[in-house]
Amino acid sequence: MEERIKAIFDCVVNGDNKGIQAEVETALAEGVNPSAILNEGLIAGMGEVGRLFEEGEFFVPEMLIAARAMKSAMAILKPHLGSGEVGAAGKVIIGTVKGDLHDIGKNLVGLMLEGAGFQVVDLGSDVPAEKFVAATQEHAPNVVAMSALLTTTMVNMKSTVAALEEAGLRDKVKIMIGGAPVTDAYASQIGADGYAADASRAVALAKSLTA
Amino acid sequence: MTEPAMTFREMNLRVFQGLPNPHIFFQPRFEPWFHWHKLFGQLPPHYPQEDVRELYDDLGVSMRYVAYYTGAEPPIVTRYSPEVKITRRFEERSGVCIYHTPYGDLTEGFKKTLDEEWRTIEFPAKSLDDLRALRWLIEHTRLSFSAENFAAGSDYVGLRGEPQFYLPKSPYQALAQVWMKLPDLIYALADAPQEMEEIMRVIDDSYDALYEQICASGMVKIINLGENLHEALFSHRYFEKFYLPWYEKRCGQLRQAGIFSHIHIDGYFHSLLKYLKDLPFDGLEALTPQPQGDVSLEELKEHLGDKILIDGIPAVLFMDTYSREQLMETTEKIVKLFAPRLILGVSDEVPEGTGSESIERVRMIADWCRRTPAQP
Repeated sequence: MEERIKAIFDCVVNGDNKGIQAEVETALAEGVNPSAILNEGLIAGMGEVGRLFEEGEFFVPEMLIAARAMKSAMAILKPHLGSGEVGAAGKVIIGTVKGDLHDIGKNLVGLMLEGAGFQVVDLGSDVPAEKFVAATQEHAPNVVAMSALLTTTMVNMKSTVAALEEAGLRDKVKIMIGGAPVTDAYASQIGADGYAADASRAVALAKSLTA
Repeated sequence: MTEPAMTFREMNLRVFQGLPNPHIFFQPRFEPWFHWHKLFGQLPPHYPQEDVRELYDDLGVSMRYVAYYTGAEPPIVTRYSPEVKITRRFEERSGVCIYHTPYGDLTEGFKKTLDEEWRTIEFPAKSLDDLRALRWLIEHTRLSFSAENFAAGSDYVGLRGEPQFYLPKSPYQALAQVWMKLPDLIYALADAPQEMEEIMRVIDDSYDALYEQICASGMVKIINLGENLHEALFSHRYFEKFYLPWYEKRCGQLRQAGIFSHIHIDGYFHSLLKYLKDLPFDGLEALTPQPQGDVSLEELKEHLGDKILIDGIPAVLFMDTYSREQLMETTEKIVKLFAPRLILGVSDEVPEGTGSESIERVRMIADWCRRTPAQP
């Protein structure tokens, strides 16, 4: 069993999209506990990818292919997992704010959060404040994550925080932000709970906000 | 007899030539700021209302590009062979462009953003299945240098700066930013590296005539290879394999023709520091230090070698989130560390929609630059 899980872990780290599907199917056929495949194989593998990214050994391409492998594995594994096991780390609503169509960073953060065991509700790009509010009411997330690449759109992070406040939801969620023009100072200024410079740090921030 | 004052155009070139200038050369880019405020009727009443060049003159600063938010025709012209059929369908806020090829259609989707500019939201090639069609399209597209457009742009910029423009992106960057969505490129590179290398070769070949024309024209003195590099787009393995050899090849061509070159690097670039001093460019544009970027000015100085720093002041410092004192302190530090190998400017542009305060900050720096000698 340990060998099989190690192989799944390695497939995630190496971004082996074909290999991981075969490994997970074999593991399930051999009776390996699906929770162990998820936690010790997939999530642990993505954790290692995040660590290698922070140490400068991995870059975005490696993260992307690792996340793709994880996603392929999850498609096979999901029917075998209990209802509370997927997204057990918490729920995150994520979107690029109104007026902004950039989504590479946001997508990467979403993938890495999923890889860390979060359930991610992706609202897409060009998301108005009202949509963040409605999604927060509907999904009751632990975290609302916003992205902006432009100085002209980052101001919509502020209006989204205000809209959540106005809807009486601000105390029920943590808010994290990211994107090229955004800084720690800006996060403080608009009343967000944190800022992350990249996808790996976003995972660490989400974990600390939901701890 | 008094010597005539040196023009910004002369000063611009002299920085690249390593010749002394009378004071710090300041070339901030704020065309998008002007465009935005004009578009929405928000130009402060005491500012020029029609032509961005008047604002450049009013502030007493240099201008860089011949066709950037100016409505001017770009010096690089794209023409398709008659076999290429293109369907364009545009509505008020969205649109599609479909390239019909013998190997299937390639669909590119657009949406208008806040600044009323069209942005790509769907890229033509989605997967390996589209590569044959993409290759055919590229092979049936001709890029050429329009001496006429460049001359017109050069007249437009006048003596405000040495007229410059952007070259098309390197093959990897073209795939990552023009033809494919980044994750799709990364997946394709992982799944079919040889096919992807082949398409990069085809892209590179499509630039041959353009480079030859520019080099032969004798009109261009400084050029930007564009790129918009940032470290989220590639790994070091890809950078060393796909970017560096291509930069050597194309910069070599430009250098032989006596053309200075620079490259636009924005976003985070800490992991690229080790490469900077050996890049074949004369200058590096838009490198963004902290607090907006992930590199300190000292780190940048340590790794820049003899390259010219073009810009350097983080754009966010022009916003009222930061004080004027913070902006001035950073500016002085940049000048202290990088002059005379410096074209001071904004990394990468004065933010749109930020009102007169950001432009008054440009004026403040312009005044200071005129009083500050270029040599340390």
